[in-house]
Amino acid sequence: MTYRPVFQKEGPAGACVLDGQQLGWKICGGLSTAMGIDRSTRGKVRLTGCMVRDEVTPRDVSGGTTIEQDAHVASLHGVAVEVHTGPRVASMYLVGLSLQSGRGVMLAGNTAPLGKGNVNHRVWANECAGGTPGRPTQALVYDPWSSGPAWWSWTQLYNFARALHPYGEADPRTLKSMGVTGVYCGIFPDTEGGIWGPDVKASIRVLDPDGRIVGRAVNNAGHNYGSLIDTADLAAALKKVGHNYGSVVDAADVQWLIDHYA
Amino acid sequence: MTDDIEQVEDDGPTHEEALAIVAALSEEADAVATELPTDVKDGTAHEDDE
Repeated sequence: MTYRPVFQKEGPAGACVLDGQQLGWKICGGLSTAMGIDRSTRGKVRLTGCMVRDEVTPRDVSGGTTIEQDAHVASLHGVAVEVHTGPRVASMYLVGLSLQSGRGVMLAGNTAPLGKGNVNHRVWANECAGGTPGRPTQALVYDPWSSGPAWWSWTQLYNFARALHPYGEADPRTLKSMGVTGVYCGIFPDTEGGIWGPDVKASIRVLDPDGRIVGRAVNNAGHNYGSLIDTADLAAALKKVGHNYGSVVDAADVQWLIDHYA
Repeated sequence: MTDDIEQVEDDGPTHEEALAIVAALSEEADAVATELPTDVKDGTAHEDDE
């Protein structure tokens, strides 16, 4: 099952105070990013939305945040976010395919279609279900301005995203009214695919087809493998815990690592 | 709270099927979007306490 982050709720105003500014209702971007970082690191990096906001550089405690600002904070924690804004808006087809291929998506939109008034807002879409390639029937949405994760229909998610007022809420133009079919979003890394590096032998891969169990063991042994586990990572992890693997790391050594550290 | 999420049946494409399509994907630019701003701030208009 897709990794699910801890839900983070928005508000009240005093829940996030930076430089004297009450930002508790202005950090939907920070909260969505924090949930995205949680998901992308499978719980290894858990920040609050306020911590994300505090790491925005250059310092900005005025109003909300942009996807670019929040994506930069994610990069500081080793999470590369593919930003789609302005001329690089993403089609919902790409958003759907991204969710279906193990990537979470942070989507900007406007809450008017949700009956909450004209507010540009950000949500975290963690996964999807049903449908055809690029067009799921529903998505599991972590909306900070709600009581918890909920399944939204694909149409509801698109209506939200297309209601974005790209020139600010005071300007009546929305993506939909301008005829823009794409949406503003940040697409996070694939957390569900395999993580074996290309040089790892088949006899080792067969122990753990996607590498996630070994990845956990390598981390628990105190070695950070980055995004892929290479043979050198296995050797480094075994060395850290004092296991003598001889001249080359083989399947028996990796099985030992699983047994003791996964 | 996360544990209370409703279970849904997922008969959609698999991770591998979607990956294969993404690998072959060539996104066409949205012609209408060329002039859109990138610095859209989300959350600014939220009322201070609700």
